[in-house]
Amino acid sequence: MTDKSLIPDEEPVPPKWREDFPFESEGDDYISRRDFTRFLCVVSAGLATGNGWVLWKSLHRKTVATQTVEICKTTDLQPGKWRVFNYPDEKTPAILVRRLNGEFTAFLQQCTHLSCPVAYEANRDGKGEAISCHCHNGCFDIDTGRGVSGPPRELRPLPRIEIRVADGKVAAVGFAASGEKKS
Amino acid sequence: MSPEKGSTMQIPTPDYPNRAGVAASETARLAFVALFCVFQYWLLTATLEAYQQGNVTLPLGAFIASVGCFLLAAGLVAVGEFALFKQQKFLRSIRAGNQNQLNTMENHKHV
Repeated sequence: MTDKSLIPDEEPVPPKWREDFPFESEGDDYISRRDFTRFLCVVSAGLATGNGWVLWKSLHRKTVATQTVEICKTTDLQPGKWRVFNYPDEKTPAILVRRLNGEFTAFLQQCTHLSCPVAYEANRDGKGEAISCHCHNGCFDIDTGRGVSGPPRELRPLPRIEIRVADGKVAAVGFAASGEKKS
Repeated sequence: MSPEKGSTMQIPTPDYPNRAGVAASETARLAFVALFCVFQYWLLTATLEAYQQGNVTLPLGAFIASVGCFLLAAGLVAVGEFALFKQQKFLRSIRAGNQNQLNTMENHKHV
């Protein structure tokens, strides 16, 4: 029988399984810095994949052919009124506005902030005509579509649609260059 | 109990940083990887905004920058994993060496 008095005092060697399970159940709740760094690395991969997705979309971007869509008759809309129509396809809403001076103008209806539907206001805050987004109190200039207040100020302008009035009918004929004033 | 007279136990020198050094390097790694993630997040939002405006040339450069950030972050994590591997290998070798020494001492007693 082994004389344990001859064996030097030493802590017992931990079993092999302790390497794979170093923590008790309470310790499992703690996340170490190393684990969090690994997680952030996965997040970084996801963000790089997101950029790759944007690149792929830009390489396969479909150019929308300019098409003419008849909206309504000029007598259907009085000055200071507006209506919704679809352009260039059935899924994309747009608004046609007849301004107080009788001119027709049109924009896509999705706010550039979070795609809320925008609406025309004849007199917003006493400052005249504007296109408003009531979700986050955003406002677009009715001449150019640029954001003038709220979240749209820092974002791209509202896409403006070119309008042609002929033979008493109003038709959409294409998109104007971004942020350009209507001629 | 003291070891047998004449027996020697070598104290090996570790080839990985000491405990305080490991903690500092882990913290620095975490900080840098977090910074890369924040930058990549901003880059993604800016690229998406530019794409929505019709800019189709920017996404390529943004993608390259984002992948570069990911490779740097992955490299930092790999360095940390390699250091951990070396540390565990060293500790296993100590454990194996202690066990061998105990076995040797057992065998000598039986002789």
